[in-house]
Amino acid sequence: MSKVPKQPRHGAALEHGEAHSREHQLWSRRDFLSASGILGAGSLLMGNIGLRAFQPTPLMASLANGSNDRILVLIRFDGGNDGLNTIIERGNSYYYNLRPTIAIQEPNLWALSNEYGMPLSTNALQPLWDNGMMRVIHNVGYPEPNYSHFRSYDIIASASESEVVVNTGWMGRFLENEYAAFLETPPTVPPALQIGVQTDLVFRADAANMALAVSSPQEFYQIAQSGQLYDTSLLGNTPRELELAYVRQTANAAFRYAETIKNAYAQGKNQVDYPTDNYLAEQLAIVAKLIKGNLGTRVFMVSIGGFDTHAEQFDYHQNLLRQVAEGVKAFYDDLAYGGNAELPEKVLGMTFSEFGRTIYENASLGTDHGWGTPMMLFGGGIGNGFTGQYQDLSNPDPYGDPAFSVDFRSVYSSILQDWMGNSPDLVNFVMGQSHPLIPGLVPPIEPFKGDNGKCALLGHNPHPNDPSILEIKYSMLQNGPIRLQILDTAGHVLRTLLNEYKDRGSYTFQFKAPDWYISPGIYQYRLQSGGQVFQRNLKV
Amino acid sequence: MPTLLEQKTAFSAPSPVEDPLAPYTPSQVKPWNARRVAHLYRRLGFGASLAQIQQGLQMSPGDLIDQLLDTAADLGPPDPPYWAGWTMDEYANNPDPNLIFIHRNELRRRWFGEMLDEGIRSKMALFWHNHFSTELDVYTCNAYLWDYYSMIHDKAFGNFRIFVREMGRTGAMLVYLNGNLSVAGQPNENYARELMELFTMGESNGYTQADIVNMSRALTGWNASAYLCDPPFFDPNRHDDTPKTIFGQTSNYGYTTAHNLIFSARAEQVSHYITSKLYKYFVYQNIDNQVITGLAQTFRDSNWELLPVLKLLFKSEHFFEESFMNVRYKSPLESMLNIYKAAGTPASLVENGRWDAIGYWSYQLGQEIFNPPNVAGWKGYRQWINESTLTARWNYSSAIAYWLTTEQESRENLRTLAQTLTNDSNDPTLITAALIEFMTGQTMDPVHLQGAVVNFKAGIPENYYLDGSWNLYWDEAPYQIVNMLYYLVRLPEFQLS
Repeated sequence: MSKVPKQPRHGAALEHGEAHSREHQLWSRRDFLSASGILGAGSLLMGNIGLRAFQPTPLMASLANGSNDRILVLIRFDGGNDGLNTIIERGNSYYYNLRPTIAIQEPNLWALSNEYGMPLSTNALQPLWDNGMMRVIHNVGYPEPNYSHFRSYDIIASASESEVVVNTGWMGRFLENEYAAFLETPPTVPPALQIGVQTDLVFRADAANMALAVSSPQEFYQIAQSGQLYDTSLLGNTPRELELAYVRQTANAAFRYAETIKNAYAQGKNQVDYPTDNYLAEQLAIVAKLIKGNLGTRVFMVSIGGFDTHAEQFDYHQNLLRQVAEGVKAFYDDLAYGGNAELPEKVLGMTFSEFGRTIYENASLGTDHGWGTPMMLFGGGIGNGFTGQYQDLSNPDPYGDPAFSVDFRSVYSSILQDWMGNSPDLVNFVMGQSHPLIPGLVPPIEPFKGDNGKCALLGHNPHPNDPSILEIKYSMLQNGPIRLQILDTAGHVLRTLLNEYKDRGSYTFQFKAPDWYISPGIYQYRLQSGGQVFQRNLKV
Repeated sequence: MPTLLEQKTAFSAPSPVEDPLAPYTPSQVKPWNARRVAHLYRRLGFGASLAQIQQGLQMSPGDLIDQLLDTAADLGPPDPPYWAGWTMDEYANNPDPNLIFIHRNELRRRWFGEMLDEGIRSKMALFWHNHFSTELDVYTCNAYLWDYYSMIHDKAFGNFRIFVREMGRTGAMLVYLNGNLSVAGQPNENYARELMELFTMGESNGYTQADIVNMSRALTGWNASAYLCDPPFFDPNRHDDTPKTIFGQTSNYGYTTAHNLIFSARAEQVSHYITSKLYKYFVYQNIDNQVITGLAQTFRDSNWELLPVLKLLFKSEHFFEESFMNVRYKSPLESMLNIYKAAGTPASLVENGRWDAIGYWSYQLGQEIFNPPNVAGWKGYRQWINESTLTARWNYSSAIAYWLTTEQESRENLRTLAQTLTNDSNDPTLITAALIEFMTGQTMDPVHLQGAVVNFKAGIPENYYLDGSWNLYWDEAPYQIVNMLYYLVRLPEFQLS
């Protein structure tokens, strides 16, 4: 006990003012670059060419790798969630000694198992747990933790190493691969949708932001109900209103997702009562409605703030968790409404937070920035149980933090491969390197394409030094024939770029359109090996 | 594209005041406040810094307008660059084949910088660039470019009759509209037609085809060469020295007398046409006949001096009407420079690369300086905005906003701006609302104000706002403002000035 430093690390607590401010700055410098994007950066590269020239194509999603209808809902706990008061190790004397005031006492928790429990405020989750719809991953973190909210959030959003700054998010890289021609032929369905926060690094790809970001549920309702980004119906005919209506109408016309969102929102229904005064529940209700309305978006993100509990956290934190529990419960009840067992099995919920908190309570009866924190997964058919090792409270490091147990990148990799159904090569490409998967974390998709695949298309991008060259990257998962062809938009083969036998390994084909006498326009390319086909749009 | 609005072009005029051109007198309903000072600066120039608005509020509207316009009108001829008189030979003999383009680019940057720092004469010069439209891509000569550039600045607030006359014999105009090919016996009608149709009287407004032919004969003799790029000169041997009949009057008109005839015989047409164009540029697309009548009268009475007309317009009740605020579309350059201006960025802080980007982006958005699309210039108004240009504006405006984060001085300017506007508040909603009103002159509906606030808060955990520990002194504050700007520039309101 006495070894645990009582003095919080400098800068990690609110009362340190200036130092705290400085750690925020780490994040400010660059994360603000990821501009909030209603449309993404689409037109930046195209300028006067005219977005209107490009017909949006609804087939992009169906052409994507590992195409299936599984959905991922990310639930962000903003501020660093206190994991020790979320998943409690029952009867752990270290815990009760370290937190004499704010610990959750045995009578105030419900049992996940003999070993672990959660605060009673979250008992809405108990049916999910009992019905095999909830898993807990203990003590998730990453080596060499960073205690700045913002830097740490960047790390878990970009899935980078602690010391490496990466300007794209893990989901952004994945979606960029799914929607390889996102800029040239924008899909009519948003690849990802986030509600209630500013545009998130998670969804940032190199060229664009892959998510439709809506600042508030209210803003979303307006869009969904009117099918317009901006309302023009209430404007009269003063000069100002006339001109404002013109700009609004033009913006609305540029907004490609209007139709699909409006239709899905009108078609989908919330069939249970969601808790009121619960910002997270309000966002989840929107997501449920869109899923039930068959929007086609596969990744959603919702967010709840307030987890930076430096002071007086006891009631406050439990209330936050109550909002989470009641919101998630209503969400899955809504998906399962009318005995629908299939839909909840298609939707995986995943909570995450930038870091956990100190294992000891501070003098203000709160907790400061710490290391590992649990993640929770929700979904039909995922079973219940625990993954990873709980914090060893008897053995903290010099900063007072027990070592983390599960690397968050293993969780991401498992979800990309087993839940989203991507080949291991693609997962490693998105994640930058191979991370050990967590077996049984989520039910692997059937049929699992990764193992059966002959090859994997890793995506395409312009050559860094010569934009006239398009680099098409692919990976041979076993020795075999490979064919790469250019097609017109009607699907006729125009050129065969490659038709040969390749050994296992990763390759880049440098495609320079003029060398193949291909005039500017919109085309597709098709990569084929054995029976496996990948087809993508590209702009020459 | 918009169809609904095509039918909605008729607008309801504001309740008529007795004399719309009566000097604006601040009142309870039309107070002389920061919003109106900013309105004046946005129309007269490229926006105002906070300091300019604060100074403006210390003066009466009339005094401020006199001061701004007189200052701009008295700037004198712009200083010529060292290459001002270079011929094509001089460029051809220079080892650097890119020099001709480098010089053009220098001039473009210079103008952009003046738009940002000076603002008012440079915006008037832009009006004249659009009015006396010439394309550098056609006349190709840098010396002509300089003469043209110099003239649209130097004569921007001067005598219009003299301005038209001098413009017709600039190298740029002689080449662009073929005045240099118009010789006795073989007159080229191009310039004479545009002189009447676009530069003075307006289309089909008091002239016949015969008038055009005879006018072109009167203007023969002036010569210039895009290939040599030497100074324009009058060659009497090429001049048609015989009688011409123009507007029913017959005389042996020459260059100056023919020009003068337009102003004497067609004074009504010229005065209405030019003041209507000024009105559309500075006030609104749909003209107010009563206002135009008054402006035209003053234009004629002042013997074609521009300054009295501009003063009358800007000082009027009409100009400060609520219903004409935020009804103009920002030109591409305005959409970008407004951000710099409001953020208090001086031109000296803007690197060359950024000016070049602004030049390229304004080209992408349809406003290539020195190369208007044709002799009619940029159409402006709603033609600035379509799906492509609107979304591109979002990105380019965001890029300018991002640049505000890259130097310490710009960041501190933003911080100071927010602090001054809000008396150093630490309430994110109040700060966001104040910045939006300052940047756009408009207030947002609650939903989009809230959206802007979310972006202003920028992921900083809510508890720092709730417990009062966050304030504008935080290192993050300037970045937060910029983050909010990313959102703001996407709101339709931002496109209206």
